[in-house]
Amino acid sequence: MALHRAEQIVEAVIANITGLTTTGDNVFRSRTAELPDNRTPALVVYLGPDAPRSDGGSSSYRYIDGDLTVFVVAAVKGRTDALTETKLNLIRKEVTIALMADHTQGLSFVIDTTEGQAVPEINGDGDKPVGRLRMEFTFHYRRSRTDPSA
Amino acid sequence: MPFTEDLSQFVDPDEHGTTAQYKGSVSVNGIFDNGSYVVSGDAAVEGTQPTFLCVEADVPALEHDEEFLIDGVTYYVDGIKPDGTGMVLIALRLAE
Repeated sequence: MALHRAEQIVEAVIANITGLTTTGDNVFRSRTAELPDNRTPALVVYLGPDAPRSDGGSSSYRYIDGDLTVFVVAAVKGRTDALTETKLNLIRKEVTIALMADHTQGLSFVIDTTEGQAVPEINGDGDKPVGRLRMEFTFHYRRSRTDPSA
Repeated sequence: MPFTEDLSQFVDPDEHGTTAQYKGSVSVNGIFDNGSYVVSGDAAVEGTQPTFLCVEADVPALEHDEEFLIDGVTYYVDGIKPDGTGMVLIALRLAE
């Protein structure tokens, strides 16, 4: 049985950002366990809000359009604060290229992908500076009103 | 009334103290801690939080970014926190 289309989008995002130059296979879904040194730099993908579009042009009695937000959080440990921030922007570039290469993410029901804000955070209280960058992507997609997998 | 205790006994390397080198070859005794530390939240990252507690008078003119060599590992001074009683807690960062 097909998954909810929101789930299919998250899976496509993970597939599309796995194997990037800086983060490689260190890509995780909603990871709650702490990242050890040997699993950074990393990307952690979180499901965000999924808001139906209510304007008349994007829905009908048969289908509904929605905007699904997916958060991609980059985590790095760096030598200095500045290098940490630079690496976050390098990862950001790679993620953006990967997700914007195909605005459908390879899914017939995804109409568009848009990039939202990216919020950095640097923590210097530990043995090395830890940097995180929370990137936001929104996917405009269409699904059946009665079956979210179709 | 000033605290007149001999503070060096608290960092004696024959007890639980450690000898570190800074400013190239200057030795200083202190208590080295390197406990677990987690940067929590989304994409939580684990690590440690190295510190060196020593007698403030033993590290005159200590500055941020100076090197500290402890047990063969090089750290940089990341924070200097005198406690007001003659001891100072030095926050360290791994030099990699």
